[in-house]
Amino acid sequence: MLTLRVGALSVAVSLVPGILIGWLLARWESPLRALVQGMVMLPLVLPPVVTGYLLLRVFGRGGPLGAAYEAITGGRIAFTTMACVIAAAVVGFPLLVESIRLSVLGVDKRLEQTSRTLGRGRFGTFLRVTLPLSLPGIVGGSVLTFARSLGEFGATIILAGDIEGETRTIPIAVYSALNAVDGEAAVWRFVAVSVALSLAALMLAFAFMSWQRRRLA
Amino acid sequence: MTRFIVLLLACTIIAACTEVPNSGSPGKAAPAEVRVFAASSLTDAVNDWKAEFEKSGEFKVKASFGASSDLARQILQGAPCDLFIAASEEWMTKLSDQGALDGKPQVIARNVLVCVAPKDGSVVATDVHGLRAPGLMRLAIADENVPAGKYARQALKHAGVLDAIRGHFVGQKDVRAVLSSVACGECDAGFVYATDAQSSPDVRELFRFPLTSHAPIVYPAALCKESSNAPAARKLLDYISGSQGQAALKQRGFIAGDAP
Repeated sequence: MLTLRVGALSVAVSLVPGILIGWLLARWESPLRALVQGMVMLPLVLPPVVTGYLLLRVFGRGGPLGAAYEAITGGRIAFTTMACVIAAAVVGFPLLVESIRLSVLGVDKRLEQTSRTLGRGRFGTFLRVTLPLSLPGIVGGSVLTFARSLGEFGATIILAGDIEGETRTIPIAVYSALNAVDGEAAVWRFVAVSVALSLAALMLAFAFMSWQRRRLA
Repeated sequence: MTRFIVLLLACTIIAACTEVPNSGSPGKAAPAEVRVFAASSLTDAVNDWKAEFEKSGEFKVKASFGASSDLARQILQGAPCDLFIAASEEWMTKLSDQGALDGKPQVIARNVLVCVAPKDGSVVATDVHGLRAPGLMRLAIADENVPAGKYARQALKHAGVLDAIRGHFVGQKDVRAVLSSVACGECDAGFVYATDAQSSPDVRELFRFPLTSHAPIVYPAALCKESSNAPAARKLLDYISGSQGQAALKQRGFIAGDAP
């Protein structure tokens, strides 16, 4: 169903940049680090509606990325399912990055150094040592991003609108149902589905983590 | 020393929690407060009424704006309100069924549904059938459960174009979001109230929907049972449905309501 797809895609789309930036914020020694961290955290402190308007200015018809996309492919970004994914990914990004950053900080640097002295290159060390050891943070951050997308309303409705079948995610459907005089029943159904999805994601994450622990033990 | 500080703190907190009655010039009564819950589309009109009504110094109007659905739910849950003005009859009917109203609602304003386009756009549709033209890819319309969205869908169905153009619908949160998405050029055209079209310099009106093509767009107003200042609220309602209040409405683009 749409909400599930949007949630999963928003995590998938954020993973690589999230891991890179999370690692960067943990290991990079530079005064610019604070600036990057501030920018990453922005969607967390801005009201979602403001984030939505900023995204619309970029991805909308009149925005740089939106106009370029329309010129190249003839299609549009705003008011499509892709827009839902973008909104959810942007809004959940700070949660993912912060979780990964803390996880990478917890990886013992000596293990990385040992790997280097044993002959593995920088990237190889990152792939075979740092990444597996920071998996708890990556998984935890992904679950948070997914859960956040289940509740994402403000930015989504501005960038993606409320189009049945294409962009009407559960939070937007709840909003629509609340406007109907007899919508209470529908609202409770949506709430139940949201809670069930969140719990399922959490349990999956738990199961994966304990499997990982047993593997490393 | 510590005990003294604690005592001082306690006195300050108690003093802050106590309400000091309005002490104006001796002999003059404090202005009676009327709390109004009104649909967002009436924001400008209510502020006009508030300015005029408060001139006598007898009353003070405190207005809250929002979607009729949210406001109605708040009233049902005990929110303090003296006068409720909704943007559709169904929420007023719900409140009436639940016994939350004092007396019968009366229609204090009506509105017209129009189609607008961005001011500098190339859209030239002069009537509803012009919306089927190939260049019109994005039609902004309010959510189907919001009054503006309902009226628009009814009107389009009445004209027989609903199925043809619904693939181009870009649903928006409410009628104001429809207006702003057309005003900024993201959508080629949109369906809003005449009052919204009038309030924005960045849109131009393409055409109006005939009043017969949809359910009447009415704004019913009623006094709330849980009111703490019924006489003052009654006075405000009389002002709104009187000649001055109605004139202010017409200035904003509304059609007059029913005679009291």
